[in-house]
Amino acid sequence: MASMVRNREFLSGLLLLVIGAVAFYMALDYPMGESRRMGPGYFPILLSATLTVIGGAIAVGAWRASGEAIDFIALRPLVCILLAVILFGVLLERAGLVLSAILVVLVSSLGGERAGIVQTLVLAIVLCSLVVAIFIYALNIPLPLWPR
Amino acid sequence: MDFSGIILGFSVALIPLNLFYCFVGVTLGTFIGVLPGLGPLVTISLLLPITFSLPPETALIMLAGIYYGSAYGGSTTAIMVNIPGESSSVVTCLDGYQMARQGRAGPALAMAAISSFIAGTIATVIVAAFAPVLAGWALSFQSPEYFSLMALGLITATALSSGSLLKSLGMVVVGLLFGLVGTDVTSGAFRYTFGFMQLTDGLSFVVVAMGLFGIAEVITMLERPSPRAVLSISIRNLMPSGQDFRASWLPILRGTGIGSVFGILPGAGTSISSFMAYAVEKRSARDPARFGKGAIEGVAGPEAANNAAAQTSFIPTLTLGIPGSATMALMLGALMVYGIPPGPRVISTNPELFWGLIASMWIGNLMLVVLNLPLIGLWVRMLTVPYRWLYPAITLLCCVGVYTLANSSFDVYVMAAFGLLGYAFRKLDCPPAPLLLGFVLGPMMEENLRRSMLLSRGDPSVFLTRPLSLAMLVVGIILLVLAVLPAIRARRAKLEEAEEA
Repeated sequence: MASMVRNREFLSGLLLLVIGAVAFYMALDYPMGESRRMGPGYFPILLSATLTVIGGAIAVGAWRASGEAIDFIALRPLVCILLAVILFGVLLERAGLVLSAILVVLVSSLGGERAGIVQTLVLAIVLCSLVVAIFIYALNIPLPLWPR
Repeated sequence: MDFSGIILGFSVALIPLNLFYCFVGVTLGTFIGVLPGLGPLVTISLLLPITFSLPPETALIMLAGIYYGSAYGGSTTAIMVNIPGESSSVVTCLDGYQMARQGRAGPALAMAAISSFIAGTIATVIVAAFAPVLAGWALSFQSPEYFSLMALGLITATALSSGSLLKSLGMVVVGLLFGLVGTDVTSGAFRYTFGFMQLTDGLSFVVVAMGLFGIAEVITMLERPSPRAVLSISIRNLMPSGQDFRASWLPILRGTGIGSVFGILPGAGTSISSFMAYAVEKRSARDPARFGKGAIEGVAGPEAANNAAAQTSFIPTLTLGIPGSATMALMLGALMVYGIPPGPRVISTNPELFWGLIASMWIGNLMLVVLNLPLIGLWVRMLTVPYRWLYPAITLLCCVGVYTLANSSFDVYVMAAFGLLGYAFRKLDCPPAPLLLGFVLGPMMEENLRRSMLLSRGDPSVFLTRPLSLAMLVVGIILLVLAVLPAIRARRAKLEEAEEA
């Protein structure tokens, strides 16, 4: 039964079940109201209960049928892309668009096939200028350009 | 038929500003849609923030332009590289790629454009004729009808989608729940905000879409080794021969018919119609063996169906406020960003938007043919852009785009979270498109449920005693049963097989 841990159907059922259960638990705090005057908790309770049941049904169904195992998870692209996005959020207001844009390109580039450092730098500068041209000059959106 | 609407539409669509953005949309859409693996959904999510600085009708015209542009770009990729940008161009790969391998890429690309244009023209007339009728009829709807209609729309979207029915249903419910994040309109209570003040206004659908379809797509793309086998053929003879036209005109008309019907059904979408059109052409061909080996009918029919459905799917979106696909959910979300509540009143309250969009659909299709045919050489060269240039560009565009929505770093983090979630869903084979549908419809469904229950003094049978509402629910249940039946049959067959062995 150890294979269940990697069973795709089982895991997806489990994920939906967990989302449903958490949502249900949180919704218990919201006033239910009554049917004729639904409180803020009414619809969430309805939905999260449904989701829990659906997730449970998928997970139980997976025990009976032999399902496919989940394929490998490539950590590098996942980490690099998410890190690039988060760095952008942290840096933009402090370091300005130019530096954060270049950093996004450099960090996200680490997530894929290797390219020369020169090529990556050129790409970063080109993409950065494009973004500055589109958002700041063409669309007139006031973004900080440089570190303050 | 009353022509004043369509005349108003052309007077709006032909304003230089709108023409310009229609052109920009069509071109940008093709430009990004051509890139392998990037379908209309990713393209629209990516470019949404750019449109928000425009007036509503211009923005919608541009978005629609992006939509058909990217759909057309997707067919180019399907024909040249055998990679479908989205499920509806899977069929185009079958015969289009074979034609390209036989050195007939030019006629295949041209026929895809021509059949899309013919289908688009006919479908535009259908939209102009039927949308106001449907909207007029929908004006009599009250909240129970709306609730049942939304339920029907969500059921259709799941029942007709491929893959596990339970999973799609689950994803719809997840989407509905995400739609509730923020302040409850009636009581003012904060729900699912996890203590973040930034979440009290709810999740922005652009942030959700960019995370689920932009960031998650990039991560998934990076996992697979990039398949690159661009056919190195020079496209000299572009025009299809007279024989090609004779073989194609009936498939185009049939495809248009099939696409128009399936596009109007809420939730049906474009992929089913292109599959149907292909099946019909194969069945009615004198020599079905030619299909899969470069039959031009196998390109013309599905491409026509695909485009007709893309146009007519605007009918339920604009008149009922029920998006037929995740792409239409994005359009609907854009409308709501502008404070235009979707529904049957859009035609009367915002006639310039409604008719302008319809007129620009036709203009956009015309632009596609006039601009794209001469530019095909350029688009084909786009296919050789390496992956390692593409994905940093997409990541950066997502980051800047999301930040500019509200000048908020918080939105950027939320997008990262949805990127992670979208990646997990993809790994687990849970389709993210139904989630987006549920997300957009969530708040409206709750509101209509609440009003219905108020109307009936808490009696849930109100959904069954009103004939229209009952009819919609019955249709929904029939669809669900139909969707489950083949699954049951397949499982029984498998069991029997196992017992025999």
